[in-house]
Amino acid sequence: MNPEPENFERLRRLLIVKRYEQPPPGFFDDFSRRVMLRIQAGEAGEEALGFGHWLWQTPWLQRLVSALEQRPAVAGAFSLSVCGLLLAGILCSVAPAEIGRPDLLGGSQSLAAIAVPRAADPVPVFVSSTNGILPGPLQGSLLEHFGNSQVQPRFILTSETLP
Amino acid sequence: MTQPASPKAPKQPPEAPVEAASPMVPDEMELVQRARRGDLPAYDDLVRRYQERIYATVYHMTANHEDANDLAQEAFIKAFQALKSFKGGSSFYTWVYRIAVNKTINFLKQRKHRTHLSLNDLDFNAEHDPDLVALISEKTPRREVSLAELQEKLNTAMQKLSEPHRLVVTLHDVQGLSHEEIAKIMDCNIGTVRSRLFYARQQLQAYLSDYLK
Repeated sequence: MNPEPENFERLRRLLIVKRYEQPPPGFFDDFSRRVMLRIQAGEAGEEALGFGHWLWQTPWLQRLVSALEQRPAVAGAFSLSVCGLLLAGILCSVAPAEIGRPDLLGGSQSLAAIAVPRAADPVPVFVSSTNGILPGPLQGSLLEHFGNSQVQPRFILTSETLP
Repeated sequence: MTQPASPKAPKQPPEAPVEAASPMVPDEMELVQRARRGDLPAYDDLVRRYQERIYATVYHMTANHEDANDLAQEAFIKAFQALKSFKGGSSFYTWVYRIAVNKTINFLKQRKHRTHLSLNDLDFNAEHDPDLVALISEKTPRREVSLAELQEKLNTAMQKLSEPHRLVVTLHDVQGLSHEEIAKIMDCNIGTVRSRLFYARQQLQAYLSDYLK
């Protein structure tokens, strides 16, 4: 192919118009300052962002984001796969509780049998103890318990003991 | 500071090619080295040198001032961040150009369906350009055409070209770069540049036939 015979002289003269298109007056006076400000802001942001910025700088991530932006089908497939992973994660987190427990107990008890206390089992009562010895199970109310106790007061204030 | 293409000078005089950018002048190399070490004033110097050409290329590709402003800024920011990977095999100018061009092409792919033109005003000198005066005053079917109308038609026609074809016309016919430089920027061989230029001109001629008779 020889492009020379074609005469594009008039076209080239017409294209001169484009050389006279100029941005608003003073546009370039401020241009480099804006670039520098953005670079400085970016550096400050980069320090603040740390790991997030590094992640964004990775080329494969940029390619993925750009593919998602440009192709709706890819974005749809990606979101579906994320939903699938989420669902699989939920199912996997539930399954070991149901499957794993009976194995630990020899497979003889169901999950319900473990969770619900039997009628014969004593109801656990939580009592605080300062001497490290767990008192026996309480019968009745706390008032009754202290009323029945054999502990005698060491000092009794009477008129004789007072000065 | 030296600026190869001052904004105060007659705006990009016709047929004034952009200076040959292949050999890296020592001054530029020094600025690049300093900028690589994080010296922002040195990088500011580099930005001032090439801001107009980078902006103009992006602007002619997008036909939108706001987009061109954003993309040109982003190109310089990205270049600064990637300075460590710049080996100096080509000139800094060609390298920045490549970044700006890639950014612009990616941007245009994303905004495929948006064709809003936000054109810059024509410089006052345009009315006195002998070529343009001759073009408008010649006996053409569209003799009454004004410069502003011509500008809009031309930009609309440019937007009909594919990105690689528009880029070649912009770099060669508007900005005056050589085939070799364009090949470096577009990362293709010179034959491809020539054939793209030929095809793009043919297309433009067809779109603008009313103004070219």
